[in-house]
Amino acid sequence: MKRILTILGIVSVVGVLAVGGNLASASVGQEPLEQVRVSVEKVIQLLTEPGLKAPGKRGERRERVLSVVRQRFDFKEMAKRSLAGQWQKRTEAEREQFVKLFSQILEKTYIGRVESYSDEKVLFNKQEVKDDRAVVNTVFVKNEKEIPIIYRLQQVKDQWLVYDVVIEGVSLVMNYRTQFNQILGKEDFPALVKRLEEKLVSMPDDGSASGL
Amino acid sequence: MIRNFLLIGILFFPLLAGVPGHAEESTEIGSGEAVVVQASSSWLEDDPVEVSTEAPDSKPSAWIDPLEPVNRALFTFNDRVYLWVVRPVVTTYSAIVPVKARICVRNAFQNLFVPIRLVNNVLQGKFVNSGVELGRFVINSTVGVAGLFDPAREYLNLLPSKEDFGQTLGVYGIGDRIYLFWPFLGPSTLRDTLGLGGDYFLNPLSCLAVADWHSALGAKSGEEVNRNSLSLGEYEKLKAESFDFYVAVRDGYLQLRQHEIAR
Repeated sequence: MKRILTILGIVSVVGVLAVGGNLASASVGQEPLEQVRVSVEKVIQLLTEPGLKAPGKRGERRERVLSVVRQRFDFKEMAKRSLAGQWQKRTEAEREQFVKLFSQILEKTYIGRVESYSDEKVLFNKQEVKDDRAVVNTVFVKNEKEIPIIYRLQQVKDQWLVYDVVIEGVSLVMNYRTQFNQILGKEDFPALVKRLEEKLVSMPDDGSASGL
Repeated sequence: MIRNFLLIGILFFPLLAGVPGHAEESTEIGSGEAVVVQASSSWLEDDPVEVSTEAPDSKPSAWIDPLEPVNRALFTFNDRVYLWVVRPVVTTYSAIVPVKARICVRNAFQNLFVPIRLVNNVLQGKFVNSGVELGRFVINSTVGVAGLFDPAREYLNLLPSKEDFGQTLGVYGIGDRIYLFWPFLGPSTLRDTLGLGGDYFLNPLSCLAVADWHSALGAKSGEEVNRNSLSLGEYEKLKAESFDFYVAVRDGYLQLRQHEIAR
């Protein structure tokens, strides 16, 4: 049995090398996948740096992680797409206020998600580019299970910025939009803003869900 | 004995020649093996709603969720059951049983549920995936010590493909028109509820239930507790992050199912 497995293993490895070799040479330079990879690597490096692990360093670590995140994520675009049609109806001041609140919530969400990082793996599989749009396919491996995560990006000058994250087929922006639509079906815009303000206060700071 | 293994070899050869192609150009962080993944390029296109200038529909969910008040009540019920019963049990369980052991338990159940995935793959015409499921079952049941380990994934890159009868019905063109939230079972649709009925007959635990329903219920609960223990805290995080938790879960479920059917 072992021998059969070994043979099968060799066959599959050869297959991977043959296919992978051809494609690897095709991706070069500051492509979207490369830019996402660099950002994710930086975040993981900060999260695993022993010098930043002490409880007293938590705030500093959080700030440094967020400064990486802010360079790669386009929170304004996420807010705009989450509001969809409502965005057009809002005044400049309303938009600004909304983006500010929503960004802070997204930052807290992000921190809450990554701070528990331990030894999970991230694989960068594939990118697809069409004009100024791109998707980058990654896989997050946790507890020996693969979770596909897709980043949707838009090119702004020489940078590719994330405007949506799709986890196991569930788009974050779409999910927020459905929630906002439902709320705006019953309440007006200021009520939604108030909800965001309350959410920001109630969200736990430390990444745990102890605030419940 | 030898002949059987040869048979597996023959069965696998075309699969292995085809499957590793998906593992193209994976760069990775951390240590470990390359993993097969399939991409969906539909995310490259804009969602028309996303960039529309129209104001959102005032009653966007009425058509998918006509039973919303009832569903919301049951959602609250399940939330309480989770917080008061499931979470304490799961927390205690995960404090006692190490994570490696819990992964083994999950693997064993996953191996047990092969008939569900195998038959539904066949029904959907996904014959390569059916072969992978069959191969996984043979390898993991033997080399993987009755399914406790997953050498098929670890060494051969053969991943399970989650298919159930609800997905099969979806592939056959039955849309999910009505969202239902079941006590204990959670989010579903009319179609997926029918699907659960279909899968019941493919579930080995159902045979056990006929002979001894106490044990079957125990096994099912054990499976639930174990699976939840591997994602402990997720529920609380989702809850803390959402503006309308009920809507977030509903939308998440519907998006996930859509994705699983289109895959």
